[in-house]
Amino acid sequence: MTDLGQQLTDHLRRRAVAATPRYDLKGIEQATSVVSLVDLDDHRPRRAMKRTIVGAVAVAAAAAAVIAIAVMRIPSDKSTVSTPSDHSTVPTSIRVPRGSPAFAAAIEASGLLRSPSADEVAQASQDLYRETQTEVSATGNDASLWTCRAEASAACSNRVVYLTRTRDGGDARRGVLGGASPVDLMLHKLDDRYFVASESSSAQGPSKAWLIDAVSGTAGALSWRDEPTTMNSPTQALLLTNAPSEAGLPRVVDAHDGTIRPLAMPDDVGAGPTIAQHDTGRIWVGTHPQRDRTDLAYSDDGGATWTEIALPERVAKKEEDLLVAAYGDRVAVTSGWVPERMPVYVSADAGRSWTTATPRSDPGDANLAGLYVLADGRLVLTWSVDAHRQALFVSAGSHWTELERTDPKNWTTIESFAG
Amino acid sequence: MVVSGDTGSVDSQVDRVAFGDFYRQELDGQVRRAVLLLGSNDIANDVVHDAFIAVYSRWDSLDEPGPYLHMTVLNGCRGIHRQRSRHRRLLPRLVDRGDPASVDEYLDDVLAELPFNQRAAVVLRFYGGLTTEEIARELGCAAGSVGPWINRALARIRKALR
Repeated sequence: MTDLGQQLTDHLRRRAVAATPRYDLKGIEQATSVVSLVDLDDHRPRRAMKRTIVGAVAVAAAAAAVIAIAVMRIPSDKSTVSTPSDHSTVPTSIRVPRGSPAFAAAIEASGLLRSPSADEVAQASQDLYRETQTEVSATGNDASLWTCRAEASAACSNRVVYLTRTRDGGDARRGVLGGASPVDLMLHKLDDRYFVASESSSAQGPSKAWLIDAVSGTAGALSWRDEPTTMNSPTQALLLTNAPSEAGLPRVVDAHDGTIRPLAMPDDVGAGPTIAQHDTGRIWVGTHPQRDRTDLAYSDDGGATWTEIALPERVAKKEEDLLVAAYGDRVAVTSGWVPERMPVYVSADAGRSWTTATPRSDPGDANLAGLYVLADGRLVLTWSVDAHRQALFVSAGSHWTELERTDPKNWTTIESFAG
Repeated sequence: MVVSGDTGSVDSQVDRVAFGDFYRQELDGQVRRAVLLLGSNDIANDVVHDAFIAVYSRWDSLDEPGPYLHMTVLNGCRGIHRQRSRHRRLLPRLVDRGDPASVDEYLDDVLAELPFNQRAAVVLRFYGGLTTEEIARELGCAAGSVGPWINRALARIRKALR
């Protein structure tokens, strides 16, 4: 090693020795206490991880005994079957949405996406690592997508390169979007796996768009069509919200022919909320069946047919503040920003019946900021306390537990599974 | 023999025991590395604990939490570095920090000015003792990039120390 190298090594060692790790295991457990809350009516068995059993060998005998009990109690079946008799013994785990498997299968069968060539990978690598600034452009639960921005480096000005990396520390994958201009490229998260990149809209609508599979790193061009989707399968379309066309009208991506099409919607659709459901492709929209009244409709077939549901009266009359979240048949809706004046209405049967869930503690002078239905059926509510702090509540059955009232920058884990 | 009356807590206790072991095993090394990458004890601790939170919340689905933690800490450091360089560009330096008093302080300053990849490559090579291929794997880049980064960093450090 050179003198300078040795000097650096000595310096770095001195600095490393001076580092003082802050031991705060409790803080971590508190920050993530959301994962140990147990929903009262939806319990999925946990996977018995090999790592846990290996870890058990190393710990004290008493703790090992507890682990053994837990492992024995865990059913070997990894499916999502409810096990009511085990409610008190098997805490649910949070199932992170991974997008629609059927959509992924259809995309794969279509041959739309291709792997980048070795040249393209080399180009992308060169651009992305030439000490330029790459930006995390979109983040899903499975992967992140980076692009090299034109303003960051002259090297990036002629092409759009992308880098995806799965969040479990897997291999990074790189590629080039053929024929794309980095100027005004917009990125949309389609679900937790697929991203859509599109050029900005013009009067004629966007001319080019690409679908990127962040997990495999493959990409392919999509084409735009003005005809609404008329598919009659729950698995062929996913909602693309805020599409850069026609004032943000919802669009769907048709995995079979590689098109982006307008979503066919009910006649009485309003400017209400539009929600996609990750796993089954169920799409919710707000409707106005009467003047001054808002209800909801959902479609399981990419917009071909719609089922209308009636909201609770108190909510239905307050369209301007409607806040809706859904996952599968579970729907949560509220319309007041002040929680004590308006409960959160919850339905487990797609809106046929409603119950209420009321926060146990009062967030005080705060505004309701977000409502989410987790994949396992629990609800998450966030309130803005002030400019820097938000309060976070998670439901367990009909009760709410306040978890945190801090700067939401610490909430990345919660956002990621709130979908 | 420990028997919990509330068996609902058994499984989460398993998590805590196994996670606690993992935490104690990894904490020191991760904080040291983050300190070297960031130059700040407080921020390094924040980044590492944010990463542990990410690991904890995925504990059941991670087959290998070690590499995941490692990668998350590295990405956290990269994010902090990116914010800093943005701030540096936006804010003119108003206060001259004065002349460094020792070679260590000189080196702190020079390392702080390096682009993240160069700094990370230097730390991984001269503190971690990693090979070029191992550094490339850590940083998720081509092996061919590592050598030039280190050379450029060394040239800069050499110049500053002159």
